[in-house]
Parts: sequence; structure tokens; C-alpha cells
Amino acid sequence: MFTHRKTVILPLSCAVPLSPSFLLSNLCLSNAVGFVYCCPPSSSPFYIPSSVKASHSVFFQLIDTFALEIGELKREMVQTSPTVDKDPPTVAGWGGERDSGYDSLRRRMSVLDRLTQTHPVWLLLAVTEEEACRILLKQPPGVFLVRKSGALQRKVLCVRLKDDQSGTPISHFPVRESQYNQVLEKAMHKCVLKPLKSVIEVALHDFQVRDTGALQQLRENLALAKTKRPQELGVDGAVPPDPMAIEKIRHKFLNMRKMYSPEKKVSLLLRVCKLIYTIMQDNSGRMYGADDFLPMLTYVVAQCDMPQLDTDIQYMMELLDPSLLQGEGGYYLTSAYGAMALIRNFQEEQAARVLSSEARNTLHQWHRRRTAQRTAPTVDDFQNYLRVALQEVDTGCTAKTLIVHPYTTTEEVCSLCAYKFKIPDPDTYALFLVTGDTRQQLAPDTHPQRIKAELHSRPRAQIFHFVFRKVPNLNLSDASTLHFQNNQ
Amino acid sequence: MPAMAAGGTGGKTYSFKVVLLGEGCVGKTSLVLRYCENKFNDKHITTLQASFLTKKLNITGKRVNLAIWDTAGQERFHALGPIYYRDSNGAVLVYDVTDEDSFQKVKNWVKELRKMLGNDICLCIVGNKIDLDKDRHVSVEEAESYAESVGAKHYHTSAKLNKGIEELFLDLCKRMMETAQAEERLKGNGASQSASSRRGVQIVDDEPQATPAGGCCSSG
Repeated sequence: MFTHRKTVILPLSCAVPLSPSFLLSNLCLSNAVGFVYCCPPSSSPFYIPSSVKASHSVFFQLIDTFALEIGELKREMVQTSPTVDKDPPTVAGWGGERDSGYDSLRRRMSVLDRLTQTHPVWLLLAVTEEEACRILLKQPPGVFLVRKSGALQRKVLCVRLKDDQSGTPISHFPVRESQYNQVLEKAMHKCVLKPLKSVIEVALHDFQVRDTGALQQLRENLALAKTKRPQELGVDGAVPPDPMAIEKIRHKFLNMRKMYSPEKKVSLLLRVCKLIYTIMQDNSGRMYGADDFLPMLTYVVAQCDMPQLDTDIQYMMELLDPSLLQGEGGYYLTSAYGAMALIRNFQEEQAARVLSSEARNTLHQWHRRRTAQRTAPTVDDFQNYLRVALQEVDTGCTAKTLIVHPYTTTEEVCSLCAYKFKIPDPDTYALFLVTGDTRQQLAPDTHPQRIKAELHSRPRAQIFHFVFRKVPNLNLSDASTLHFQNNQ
Repeated sequence: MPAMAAGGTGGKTYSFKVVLLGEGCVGKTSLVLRYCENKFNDKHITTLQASFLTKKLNITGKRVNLAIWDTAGQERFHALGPIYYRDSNGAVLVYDVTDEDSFQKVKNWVKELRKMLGNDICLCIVGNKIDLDKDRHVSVEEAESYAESVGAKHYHTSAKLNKGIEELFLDLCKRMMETAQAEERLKGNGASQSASSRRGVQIVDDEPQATPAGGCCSSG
């Protein structure tokens, strides 16, 4: 990882609120290309909660930890390759040919350091095969360079070998760069994710606690779902795991929680799925598809009654390598996500549509984060934040980003706006939804986040704004003011 | 574990995701089990299970990796559809020829898929259980003309008799390859860019002339 002086993208910005999904998406190593600080657009007036300021210092702590970890890793690597360091077999003869300073330098530096610092010498991507041969022929055996082959579309390692071998003493090795570099990913996880795991967990936990509505809903519905028989959750015929097996699965989920590597977590999730399948199959001898498996998984998740499983699933979905999301791990992760979503929205009175639009909204955001070109996400992208503009006749528009939970009503948002925008006469103001050239006043008992979710889930994305402004003319009849209703 | 570790290098390898939709009991599972019969990969955690299956094919010299995602067909799981069909290259929509309702359900899926994924996804509408033709409740003409009207291909299969299944998937793969190739052509010469969006950790070489001063290793 370090030999090419590779860097990692961590687009953390101090002004963007630290929501777990934000934190996770930015810690995704999969699209790492360079160390970049993404600054928020300077024109947008951001509302900075105090917790975010605190996160700023957390960020620098993280960087320190990161640096420390790299240092340790390097020390490890140096210690594990002492023989190479003392007498590199293929690089014999270097000392004599080089300037006198080189030997002492060699003794002080590890192989890794030497490669890192010398790459401008050997990384000659522009030279042709002929040129490479010409350069190397004049060099002692063991000298190498790396060039790029246009025909192969690959880098090629060219090494000067001993003359006594048949043919040309130069060998060319095309370098295969795999799409999914497991070693690299593993190393990155170790040196970045491992030290961050506890921080992420604290952030996720804080988020869950702060977002009382969501956590409460999840807890209540998990408890409710736990009381249901398998048949009530859609299981049809297949035999469910007994309490002992459930305990075993719980134990696996607890172990899963301890892992920092998303891949290791997923492999434990797969083991849980395997166990469920085995129990189903042992009792019937037949094979099961999703019609039987998904209800059973839902039942198992309900029986385990672990609200923290939800954040673990989020962690995996955000951090698993995208190429693995298409495979078996991705399939069962999707199923676990689905089972959790069903339980979260379990209460009978909640129509399927709510789940549909909310799940879609979340997925839409998640999908965009994981697949789109990585640009700094806007605050609007995150759940529980709502951007509201204050429209005044004389001063124009000012926007603020407010924390608004899914259960916050328009009435509550209005009083929050009045406070944040320091409105002396809040009674004459209301919250409006502005789309294109229409403006709708929101009824006090509607939920702006739900409206946002609904708008996001529409197939054709429309530009919309929440605007806090004076009610145009109170004398007008109500007919002129449309009330946007939650259609759930 | 990585069933779809997309080759990318060497010869062309296509990796396609196909989602399997349809009401419970129409025979989705049997259909896909038939197709992947005896082709199970021992490395799979879920050996012998039919929710997620993979198949490797070779079509006109091109390697194709197929990942088939089964979905739960009961109405209560309908809302989870999007999380399964996102990013799919193809969809196999199965109904039971003896069950008019299951055909209606297919129509709902078609509407939803077209709305959410547009025309990028190759649709196959499959009337299963043709071994029970005497109890048929969905007419061949109706099904075929409906499929045509929505830009889908229609197939008749019998998982029980292993009829029509191989053809269905082979045809689907060819269509998905055509779609992928058309997409590549659209992207023009930037062929080397095509895989970049799906890459794992990206390795970006510093240009040779870049100075290593102040690099990440300067502080031991």
C-alpha cells in the first residue's frame, strides 16, 4: 500500500453534520484515491451544532491514530523482512555501482522506505520496451524499472538478470492489477477502520439515542415482532429454529458486532443464514428459495431482539467493497436489511406504502452514495436534516439546516424556525413546500421529513424547497392555500 | 466468497445480476434450481439453497457470470422489491399459466421496474407450469401481446419437465450482453474507464516527475 505512496480519500469536512450514515459513507475505503479535504460550499450558511464542532477535534484525533497505526505497521513490516533488508538477493551489486552515500542510506532505511523514496527513479511509465532494455543493459543484474505498456494496458516490471541466462538478460513481467485487491483492502481496513471502529460505534450509538423516535419505534416493533408466531411473519411450513438455535445465532450476531472488517462481518452473517437453511432443510429435506427464507430470517431477527443489529447492518452496507455487494454476501446483506426494515415498520396500522417510500428513499440515498462518483454530499442528503429557507420581503433568502426527525410535525418545525431565524412575530409565518412554480402551505400536523421522503421516492426527481415565510394574505379564503397532506 | 469477483482483466467477462420476481408458488425456485442444477459451487455458504445462485456461461467466446437473486413473492414483501432489483441487468418475471392472478402480479412488477429502472433492464415474462396446460387460465396470445407491448420477451417453461428454461436464460444473457455492448459503445473510446466505477481500492500512481517530498512516510 505504501510502496507507491498511495493515499486514501477521507472527505471529512468540519461543517457537515456527523450523522452515522455520513460518517460511514466517508469512511468507505473502496473508492479511495487521495487524501482530500472537501470543504463545504462557502456560500451556504451552515448550521453547526456543537456536537459537530466536537467532531472536528475527533477528526484530528483520528488522523493522529491513523498516523500512529501507519507507523506501527511500517515497523512490523521492517521487522518481518530482516533478511531482505540485509542482503537483498536480487539487488546484489547495487552498493558498488552507486555513490558512496547509498550504502549508509541503505542501512538506515527499510525496503519500504527505499521504494517509497526512490520511485521517481524506477517508475518510468513513459519509456518504451526498447528504451527500458537499453537502460537496463548498462546496469548490473537486479536493477529494475517499471514502465507502462500501451499494448497490454498494464504496467510492466522490467528486471536486469544475469548474462549467463539464455536470450536477453532483461525480463518483462506484466503487473496484474486486480479489480478487487483483497490484500490492499485488508491493510486499509486494518490501519484505518480498526482504530475508527470504536469512534464509529459511539457515533452510531449517540445517533440512535438522540433519534429517540426511530430507536423507540425499532425497540417497540422488535418487541412486538418477537411475540409473533413464525406463521404471522409469513413462514409457511418450514420448521423454525428452536430457542437453543436462536441463542446460538444471537451469539454469532454478538461476535459479528465485535469485528471491524465488513467482510468478516458478512461472512458471519452468511454463517447465520447457513444455519437457518440447515435447520429448515434438516426438517424437510427440501431446498428453499426466498419465498421461505426471507420470512424465516425475519422471524429469527425478531427472536434475537437486538436493536443494535440495525447499526451493524448499516455498517456493512456502507463499508463492504462494492464488487462484493453484487455477490452472495450482498444478497444476504440485502435480505437482512429487508428483514430489519419489515420489523421496523411492523405495526399493523402502518401501511405498506410508508415502508415502500421510506425504504426506497433510504436505499436511493445509499445507492447514490455507494455508486455515484464521489462528490461531497450535501447536507440535504441525510436523513434527519432538513434545509429550510427563510424568505423575507426585504432581505431575500437565508437557509438553515435544522435537525428534524421523521416524527417532527410542521408545527414543531415552525417553532424551531422562529427560534433559529429569530422571528419576532412567528404566528404570521408558516412552512411552505415550493416545487417549480407552485407553493403549498403545510398543515401543522404534517411531517416534513415524510413529505421529503415521499418526494425523494418519486420516480422523476423534482426540485423542491422548504420555505419559512409570512403567510401571504390572511384575509384570503382558505381555498387559495393548498394544504399538502401526507398521503400515508 | 466473492461470487462475482469480476475478472475485468484478460478476456472480456460479463457479470450480470438477474432478479427473479413473481408471486409465491408460481415455481420461481424450481425454475432456477433446474437451471443451475448440478452446477452448485461448493464454496458457496448456501450450497444447495436456491435464494442466491450463480452460473457461469460461455457465449460466443465471451465469459458470462450470472448472479440470480430470488425474491419473496408474498404480498407482504412486495415493498422490499427495490432493494433486491436495484442494479439488476435483467429480470425474470414468473407467473403460473393456471393462475390469472399471478399474471396480474407480473404486470404490476413490469410497471414498477420500468418506472424505477427505465429501459436499461432486460425483461423476461415467463409462463411456468405448461405441463398443466389443460388448466391454463392465461391465454398464450394475451401473454405474448402484453409482453411485446412492454418491450419484454415472453417464454413458456415447465420446471417439472425441464422445458424452455435453458433457452430462456441463454436468450436473456445474449440480450444483456447486447445492452452492455451498446452501453460501451456509447461511452466511446474510454474503454479503460468502464470498470473504474466499480473498482475497489484505486491505485493511482503518482506521475514519475512528482516529488516524494513530504510523502506519507516522512515521519517514521
